[in-house]
Amino acid sequence: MRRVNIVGTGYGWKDAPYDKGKVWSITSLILSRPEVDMVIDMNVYDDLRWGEVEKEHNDRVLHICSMENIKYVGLNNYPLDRVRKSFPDIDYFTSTVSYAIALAIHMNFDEIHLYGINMTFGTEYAQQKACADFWCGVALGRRIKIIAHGDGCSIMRAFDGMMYGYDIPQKNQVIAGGVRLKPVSGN
Amino acid sequence: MKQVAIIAKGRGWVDAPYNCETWGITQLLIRRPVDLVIDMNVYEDLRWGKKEALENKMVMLMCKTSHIPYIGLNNYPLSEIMEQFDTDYFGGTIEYAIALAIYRGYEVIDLYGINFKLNSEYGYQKPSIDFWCGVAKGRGIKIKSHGDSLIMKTIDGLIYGYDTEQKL
Repeated sequence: MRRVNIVGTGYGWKDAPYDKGKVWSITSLILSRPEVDMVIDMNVYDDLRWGEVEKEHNDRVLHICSMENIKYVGLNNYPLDRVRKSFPDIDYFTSTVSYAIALAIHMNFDEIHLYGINMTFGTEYAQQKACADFWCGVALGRRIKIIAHGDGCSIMRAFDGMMYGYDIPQKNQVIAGGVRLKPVSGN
Repeated sequence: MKQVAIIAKGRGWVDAPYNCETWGITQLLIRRPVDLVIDMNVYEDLRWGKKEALENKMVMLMCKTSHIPYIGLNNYPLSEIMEQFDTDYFGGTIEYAIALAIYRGYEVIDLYGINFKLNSEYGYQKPSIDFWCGVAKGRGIKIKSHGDSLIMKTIDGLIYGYDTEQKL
């Protein structure tokens, strides 16, 4: 079994294992956890759109990767053409996490585990959740085992943690900010 | 090619074809004929209001008199589908419909009338619809959301990082 652990900087990253499969760092996780096999960061920092602190973090990440011979995947060397060949009818990417999951599927990993990727409802990352969910669906469709770890993780979980209609709690339900949000009409 | 059009009530439902198999989401049948109705809502406790409950009764009656299959909470093959896909992630009727279409072996799934905005009451549903579209794509099924739908689309229409336009 080929396993990859895709680890974000959110709450729960500490739960990612050290002895099971490859570890891919999302953006600056490597600054908190140096033991990773690869860093992936699809953000643009040069124009300071994410601020000076983020750019300084990215500079440090690039330096560590260079010194420690850790592969760094960014906009310039992401194998977009090859990934797009694997998924010719998909051009849906909204974050580094979605690119990482797509790459893991493209590289034929049998198991994809997500840690520290919460994309909690009501945060700036919530809009990225739909695309991350989409790529989890692609993995599942290809019969790849994909698991999103952590109590605070909203990936592949409904906004109220319930299976619609049946009102059965999902196995690992998450409640946004401790409050159950409720839709206002049937769908 | 085994093909189905899943049609919701949002703007764009009128564009759905009549010359292929069609599934209507909730009360669409009141507006146009379909080959199957799917509605995974609970109406008895009036949680969605009296009007929705009345329309549901009307739809059920129309299904009965016209011999149109009606799929609801009681006859949806939930355990079979959960077992096959190993997930319990369902955010609404549309997601259950896509899952059922994949389960039944359709090779082309066209979505119509799913064009809510992210900040609308239905916006919370986009992630789980996208998820099931991903499952379909992963299985090699052609799935497309027609009209100005946000399904499988970024908010700004650009591919993240590269900032090039989404075309598919």
